[in-house]
Amino acid sequence: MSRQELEQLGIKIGLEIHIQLTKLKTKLFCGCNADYRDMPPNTYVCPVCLGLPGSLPSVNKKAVEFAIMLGLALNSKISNKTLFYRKNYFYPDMPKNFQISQYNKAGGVPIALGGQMILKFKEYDKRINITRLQLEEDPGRISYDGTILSSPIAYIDYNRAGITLIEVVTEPDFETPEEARIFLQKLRSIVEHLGIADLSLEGSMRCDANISLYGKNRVEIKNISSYKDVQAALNAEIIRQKNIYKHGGEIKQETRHWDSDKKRTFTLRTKEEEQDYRYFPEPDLLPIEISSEMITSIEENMPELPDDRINRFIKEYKLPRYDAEVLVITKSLADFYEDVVKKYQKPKEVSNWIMSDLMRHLNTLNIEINDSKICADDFIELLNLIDKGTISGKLAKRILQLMMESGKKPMEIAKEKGLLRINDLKKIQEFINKVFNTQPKAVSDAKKDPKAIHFLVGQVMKLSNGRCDPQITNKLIKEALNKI
Amino acid sequence: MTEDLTDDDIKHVAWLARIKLESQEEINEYKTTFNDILRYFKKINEIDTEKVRPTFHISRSVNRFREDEIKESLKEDEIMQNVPKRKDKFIVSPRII
Repeated sequence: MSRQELEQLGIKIGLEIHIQLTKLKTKLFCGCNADYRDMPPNTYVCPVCLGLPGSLPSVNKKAVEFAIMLGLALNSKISNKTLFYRKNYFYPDMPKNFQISQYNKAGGVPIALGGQMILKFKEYDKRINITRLQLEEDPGRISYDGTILSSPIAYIDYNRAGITLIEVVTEPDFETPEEARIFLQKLRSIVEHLGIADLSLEGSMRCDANISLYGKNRVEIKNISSYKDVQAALNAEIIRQKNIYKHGGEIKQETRHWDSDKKRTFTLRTKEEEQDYRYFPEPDLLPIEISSEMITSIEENMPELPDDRINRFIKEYKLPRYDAEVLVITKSLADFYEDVVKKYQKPKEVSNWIMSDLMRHLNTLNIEINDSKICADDFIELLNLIDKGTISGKLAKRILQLMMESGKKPMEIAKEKGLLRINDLKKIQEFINKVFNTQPKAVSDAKKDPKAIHFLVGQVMKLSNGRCDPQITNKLIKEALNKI
Repeated sequence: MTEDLTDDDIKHVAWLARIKLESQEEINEYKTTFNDILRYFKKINEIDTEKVRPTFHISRSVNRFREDEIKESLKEDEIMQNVPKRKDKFIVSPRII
């Protein structure tokens, strides 16, 4: 749907994003190792995260500092006093039967309130207001035999229970699914620039979306696991709601799950209403007071943020704003760019290569630069080989793809696949002779009309798989024609 | 809570706690007990709190933090000691939707 079509639907979307602070070594309330991925189930658990009677939680100081950093980066107001709350619910993903979270009602103050992010689009700028940021613990993981509906039992792994999450809640300011996607991408870039999490890790950034059309009932969509998913899930839900309204139906307020395989949302369970969570202040944890000195000292040590980096790219590398924005919205890509430009000082050329071929291959392979097998030094070598004329720019594109798939060096691939440029006059002449013998009509055309020579050059390039040096080929063909 | 709890309140709380109440007798029993407790605590309402600021924590101390340092977790047999049903290293529970 176009933006105009979407505007007519009166879409309002709000997001709740859960971000795991994966750069923390331990969980939020206990010293269990937080690096749980690829670990056998239930290995990083202790009396605190298992909720055994008599155990007492204690707050990871660094988690609080990280949350303040994110709050500052999103222009939020950091609370001078903040509390933890118990959110009670009966579900096996939390062994305590409550989650320690924060609350913005009944006297509760989350760690940061307010804030905003400006999204830049070609035609317009969009301001997204942030409602709040809160610290909370991640529940454990539940898996099933087959699907949740077919499995009679649940398998529980508490390694994730107690991992630090920051929940970012936005106002319902998004009017298109694209805006929601860009927001998540930018949020991820901010988080990664702050160095508080690596959000390429599976399940490290999860999102719930509230969406309504025409100012009517809102539906909450859960289980959205990436910024790519958010756009797909919202699009699917918009179409579903639009069709129901079109046929005179009504949307009921409910929670739906996103199925990223089937590309649709579906109803799963009725959860407790909000009042049933019976929030109350966590008696086992002391309040946190955040002094202005603490905020200032964190502020002074903040790393470079995406917006500053974009401006620096424009100034330092003379890049167009568009290039700078495309690179910086993915931190790993911006890092790769700078690694290359440090040793290969043609910044615009490098950004062209990254933004076209490199990004296209990443998209096709559906991976990020850090998962691809290419390293900055090999990429630099490729660019140098083009400059030296060892390979043609066109073949370099093919070599780049093979580099990303195999991790081999460009020269190795060029030799292996016979992609080196042919500069040898004799060899080029052999190709020309073959073309002249098989295409007599084209030869006589070229004799009459000098423009037709391009066809012959093209045939030689085709025959040599694009390896003949085009300038030498051109010159030799002209000489050959003159001799006829 | 000014009114006494009704049968529906009891059933709702039972559902939240996943407790199965089978008979009216059971519901009555819980209702009586609950209401007794609540009536007892209503005495607190008699205190004049007009000039008292809300208290969220009885301790005056704040900011008890822990450094981000890894501590040893429990061993497998310690973890599984209280687990009624397991499969390999997983803890098994009924499926709940």
